[in-house]
Amino acid sequence: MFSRNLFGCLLLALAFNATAAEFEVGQKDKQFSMSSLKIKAGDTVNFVNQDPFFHNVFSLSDAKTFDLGSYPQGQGRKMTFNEPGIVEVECAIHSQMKLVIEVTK
Amino acid sequence: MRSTFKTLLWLVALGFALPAGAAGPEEVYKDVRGYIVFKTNCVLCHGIHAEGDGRAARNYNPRPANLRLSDKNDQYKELIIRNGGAAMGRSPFMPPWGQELTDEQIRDVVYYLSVIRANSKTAANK
Repeated sequence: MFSRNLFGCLLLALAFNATAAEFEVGQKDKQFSMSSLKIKAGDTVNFVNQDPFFHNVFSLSDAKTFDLGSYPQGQGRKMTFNEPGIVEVECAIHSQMKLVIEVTK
Repeated sequence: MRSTFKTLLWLVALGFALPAGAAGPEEVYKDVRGYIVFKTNCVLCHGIHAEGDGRAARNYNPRPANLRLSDKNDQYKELIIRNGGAAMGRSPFMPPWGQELTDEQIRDVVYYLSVIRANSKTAANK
């Protein structure tokens, strides 16, 4: 019985992972490579710094509050969005950088 | 001259702190420039009054420093602003500003922080 339940859980986890997608957002010329992005709950966004100076990624939105710290050119930071909602993403170093992520069910 | 005076009056009204005691025009200009750098780049975490209570502060543990109470000297502040918290063994959430701010802007904001620190000390001793 236990092994059947475990098998069921594993199948569910695999099914969940199979549907989750990964998106890439660049940080170039002190802008995000897009101003808005629509993803599904469970999807991951990789923020990649393509500028020759540090960038940061953070959000204070109710749907998702996070700060991925500061990182140099060529590096990226990933964030998974599990809850639906509107997430406004910014860079603490360059206040003009804005990205709105719409996370749907 | 009149417009400079008016600008200073506005800045004081907005919470800008003038250096205590006798300060020449260069110190006041440096203070004003530092105030502008601070308001543009630092308030998000350190808060409008530099007390470590900016709108992003709730995200961080440890909380951003209360710069009115900081016991760090100007050289240390210049280093942590330029190189970021991680390079100094402090919070990794303090970004490195060395590529964003000029040397003059960093010196100006450090000067502004020394002024508000000195003013806070004076007020506490009264």
